[in-house]
Amino acid sequence: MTKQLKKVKISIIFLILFGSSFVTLCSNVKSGPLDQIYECTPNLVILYDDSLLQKPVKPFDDATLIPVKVELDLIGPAVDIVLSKLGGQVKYIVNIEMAEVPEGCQASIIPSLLLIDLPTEDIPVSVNATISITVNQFVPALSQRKLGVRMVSESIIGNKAILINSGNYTQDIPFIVGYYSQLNFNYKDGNVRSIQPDGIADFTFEIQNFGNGATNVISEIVDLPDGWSTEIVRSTILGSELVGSSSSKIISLRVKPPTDFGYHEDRQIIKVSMLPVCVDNPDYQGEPHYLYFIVQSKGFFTPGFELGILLFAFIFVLIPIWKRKKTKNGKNDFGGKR
Amino acid sequence: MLTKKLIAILLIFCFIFPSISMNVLASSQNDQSESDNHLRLIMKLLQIRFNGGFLDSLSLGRYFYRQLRPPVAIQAYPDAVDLRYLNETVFQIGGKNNVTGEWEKMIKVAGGWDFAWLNPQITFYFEFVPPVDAPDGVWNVIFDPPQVLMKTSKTDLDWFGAETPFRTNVTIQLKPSVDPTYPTQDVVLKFNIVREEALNHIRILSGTPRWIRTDKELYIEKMNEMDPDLYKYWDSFFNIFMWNRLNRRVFFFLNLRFPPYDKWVDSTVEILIRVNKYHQVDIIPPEPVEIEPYEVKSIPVTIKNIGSHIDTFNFRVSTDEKNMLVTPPPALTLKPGEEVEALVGVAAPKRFLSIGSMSSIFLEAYSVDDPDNVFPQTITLSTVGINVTGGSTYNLVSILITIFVIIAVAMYLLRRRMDKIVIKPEKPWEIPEEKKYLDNLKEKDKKKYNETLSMMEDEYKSAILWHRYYCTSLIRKGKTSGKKIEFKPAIKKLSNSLNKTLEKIRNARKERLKAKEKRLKAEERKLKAETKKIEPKKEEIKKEKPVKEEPKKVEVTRPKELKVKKEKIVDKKAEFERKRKQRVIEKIRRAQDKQVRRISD
Repeated sequence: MTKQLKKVKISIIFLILFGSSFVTLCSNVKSGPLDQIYECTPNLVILYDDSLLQKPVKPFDDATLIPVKVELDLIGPAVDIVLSKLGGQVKYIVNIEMAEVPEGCQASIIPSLLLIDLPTEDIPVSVNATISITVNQFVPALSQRKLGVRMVSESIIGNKAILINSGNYTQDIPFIVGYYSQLNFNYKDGNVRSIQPDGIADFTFEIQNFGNGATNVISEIVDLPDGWSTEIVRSTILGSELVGSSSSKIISLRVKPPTDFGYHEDRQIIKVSMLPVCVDNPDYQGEPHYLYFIVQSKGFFTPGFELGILLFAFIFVLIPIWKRKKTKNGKNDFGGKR
Repeated sequence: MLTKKLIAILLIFCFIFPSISMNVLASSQNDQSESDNHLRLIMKLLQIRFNGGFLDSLSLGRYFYRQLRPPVAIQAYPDAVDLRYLNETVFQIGGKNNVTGEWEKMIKVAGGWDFAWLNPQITFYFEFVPPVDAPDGVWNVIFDPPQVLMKTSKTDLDWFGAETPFRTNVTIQLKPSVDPTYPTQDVVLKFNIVREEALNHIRILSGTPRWIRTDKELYIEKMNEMDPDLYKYWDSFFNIFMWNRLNRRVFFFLNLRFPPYDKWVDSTVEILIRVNKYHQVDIIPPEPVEIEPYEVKSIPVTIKNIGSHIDTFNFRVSTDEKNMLVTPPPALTLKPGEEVEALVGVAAPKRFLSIGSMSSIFLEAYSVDDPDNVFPQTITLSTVGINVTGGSTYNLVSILITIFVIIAVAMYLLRRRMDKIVIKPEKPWEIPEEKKYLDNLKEKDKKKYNETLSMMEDEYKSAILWHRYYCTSLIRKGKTSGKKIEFKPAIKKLSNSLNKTLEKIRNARKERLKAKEKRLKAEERKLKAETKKIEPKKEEIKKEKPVKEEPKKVEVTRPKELKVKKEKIVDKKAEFERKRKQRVIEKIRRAQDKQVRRISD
């Protein structure tokens, strides 16, 4: 009887112990202080090549693609213990999106959902993504803008305890807006002239800068025909309305036709190249524009001392003739009556 | 007994350890000087505890976690597309395997083979979320297919739509008719993937699917095909056993809170729409323009930006006229809807005369951002007018020279013609005989010489006048009558008569001179005779002979000669005057006759 009682006693004790231990291990109680030892905190970082963003993003151009790596690093006292169970079986899900896009720009990141395979050891793991940036409005040239990229990950919770905490990180990605030139030309008084060979064709035209930065317009005559000469201001600096400076100027072009002695019927097209260059950084240039002017020179060109020649003719030619005639008349003056 | 006690103590230790380890760790955190060995031991104990709490069986472990539903990243492919007005843009939304790059199957997105059968039907809808600032109906979005559907079964694994790739083709179109100014910049479009489930509670309660027993190998194959690393729930006998005994009931009760039909946004996909600049320009040509040969002109052309953005347009220009020079307008930057006047430079070809030859100027405009998209227009030009080489001064001088040459030629011809009619009278003082006479007269009597010369001059003038009048009258007569005048006999007659008259004049003069000489000689003789009678006078005369006597003779004779001469000169003048008057009278008469004849006609 005693033996049987002992057996029952031992069984009850074992049951109590087993039950309590089971409840301890599989308890419904929320995370306690001991569970927090196993909690891991994710650290999400975007890694990218800085040199790619040193190159300015040109407005209205194709999207600038920046390859990035989203790196996950789990931090916690028992990371190895947790990863030994979860690693290789669980994909860590990170939602990534643009939290802040500067005005006049568009940006996106792909893929928007990142699946990171959890490693079995405590080492950082990363997945690839691509950020695309476009500037589609007039944003001041060479100004710095920044994108805000938000990475959100959901927590991984075991039956009762949190294994990996949720993460919410925002990282700034700075970039520089490129130079975009946009010029407008307006002939103030036409682009054709008909002049005398000794005349000068004066043209005036207005240049307006619609670009996103102060622009230095380099004017140059292209393929100037022989005998013709031109005068034009080589450098014209135009401000930008974006920074509140005057964005238009009037430029004069003077064209002189050939002035060889004789009759002229010369007609030429004068081609002027206008190259926009960024004032702040001359390395940034726009596409050159070409202006065309037709000049027609028609008439007889005298060197200008023809009056002198005429006087000489009078003095040295006409006067002797006149004298000769007078003497002849004197001789034939019928005996000097007249 | 002792053995039993030891076993009991060991078991108690094992079960109680997890509770004790918490205190152990707490003390280890506070104690900085604890050795690495202790830490390692603690970590080992913690691992044992974690593994104990990660109980797989019955999923009862406190830390147990398993990703039963494999996550699939659903996104747009490509992630950014270019869009143009009226142009349709197609992209795809779905899930792709990162490793293989192939589309994931519907079954994987739906939750895998293990538990998808709980829902008799799972459908995914695609839904477009218009941007907040978009006008209604500006976006036209078509999904193909509009939904992805899967029907499950408990009897077999041949589920409808399970193997279908989870993707849809999205066609988007921006309708400019709605709002031509939208959008002016790139936009991010959002698409919702809506999951729609039908839930059969009875099915959950009715136990494990039949295919677990009949098609287990197929199940494992399909699971491996889906994801080899994924846990195969129905591969475990224990799981099947537990499901039938306990879990199905638990699942039933848990799912009672869910309706038999439900739907929710499963995920959202974003795509960057790069709204390409819509380049379009309207070139309004002027009415057909007239230009003179060898003229330069600026032709105004209206340029209007009917594109979507502020745009810079460049121009190309050509012509079908080979020798015509044309220049394009400069680069123009225009805002949407802005209209400006641009100038096309034209230099017409060199032609003497053009009566409206038509030529065309082909003007092409293109955006600097899209040079391949060209907008052409034709300007019609007609060349009308005369072009004379040279400038105004040059031409004036040329005209004057031409007039001078023409006049000279005309005068020459007229003179020649007049010479043909009648030879022009010679100057009397240049006739050798007259000249000799004049020379002699000049030496002898200068006054008389002058008078004679003056008379000759008058005579010559009269002759010239007569000659001119005669010739012109004859020419006019010839012209008016239309009859040919026979000049030769008339000329001969005239010249003969002239010569005769001149001969007569000369002979008369000679006779007069001879008569004078005779008279002078006679007077000399008389004087000599008188001087012989008076001697002293003779001496006186002798003394003064070389200087005085001869001038006296001249002085004596002159008045007489002059008287004679004066009479003769008066006669000549009168004669000329009379002749002239006669001619004038004749001329008047002829004119009167002519008038009478005309009146009578």
